Amino acid sequence: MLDIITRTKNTFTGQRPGERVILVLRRHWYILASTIIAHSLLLLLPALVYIFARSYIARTGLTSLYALVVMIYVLIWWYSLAYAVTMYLLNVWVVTDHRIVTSEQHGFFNHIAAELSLGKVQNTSAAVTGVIATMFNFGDVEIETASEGGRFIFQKIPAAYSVKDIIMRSASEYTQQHQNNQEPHGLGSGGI
Amino acid sequence: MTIFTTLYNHINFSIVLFLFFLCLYSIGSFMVLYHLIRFGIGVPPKIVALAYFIGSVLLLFMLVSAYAFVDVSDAKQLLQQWYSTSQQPFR
Repeated sequence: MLDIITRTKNTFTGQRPGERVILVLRRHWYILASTIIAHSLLLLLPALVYIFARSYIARTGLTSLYALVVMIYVLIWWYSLAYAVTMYLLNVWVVTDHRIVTSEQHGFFNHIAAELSLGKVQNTSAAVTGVIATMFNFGDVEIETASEGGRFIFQKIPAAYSVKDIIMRSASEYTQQHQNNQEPHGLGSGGI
Repeated sequence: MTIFTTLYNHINFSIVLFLFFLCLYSIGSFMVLYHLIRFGIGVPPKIVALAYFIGSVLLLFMLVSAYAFVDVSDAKQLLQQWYSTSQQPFR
């Protein structure tokens, strides 16, 4: 019954017919974990207040009111956590067998989408800098394009070196398949 | 002026405020769920959407229960005490 949420072909808005998704990349889970830990600390606040003000709350008969305030706080906390996780999940880089698509969500009404044909990829480099990045194996991948000043940067993605290799391999396969500037798969036009 | 006095006497402002908060929360939750299901790629956004939905339903149930059992008479008394204390002139 839960197949609908556990089986996916990683389809995305603007995907062209026949276009195959090779990679779906998000920032490393370390980034999400740090956000969740920060939120967890905020959840301790009502408990701390209760520990220090327990006798006052009980003496003045404000226990039920305090419970209501705590529930409102927890509900706002839950929403805030979900918002942070949503923003994390909606910032993705998709590598298909034809192009690279970036989808950045900086708020519910602030969405940036861009795409780059694999035929325009000239050079790819990966950088893992810092102790934590080395320990958890995440870093930045920079893709230089044929157009002037054009470059794509995947920030803080896991296994940056492997991703760089996959992108370069996909780009060379794409170039081989499209040598005569013809589309062998007959893809229609689309856009994110 | 009479109509305002009548409204003031007959409307329970705590319920209005509570319903307003629930309305705001529902709109925010809809935005989160819509974005996760509509724009999320792969399995994780769908699982997070399900977890958020279940968590929200449980928390809303607990919030409504807390609201049903709240007793503000002591808080009102406390506020009146503070108010009367603050009205006393300094000696």
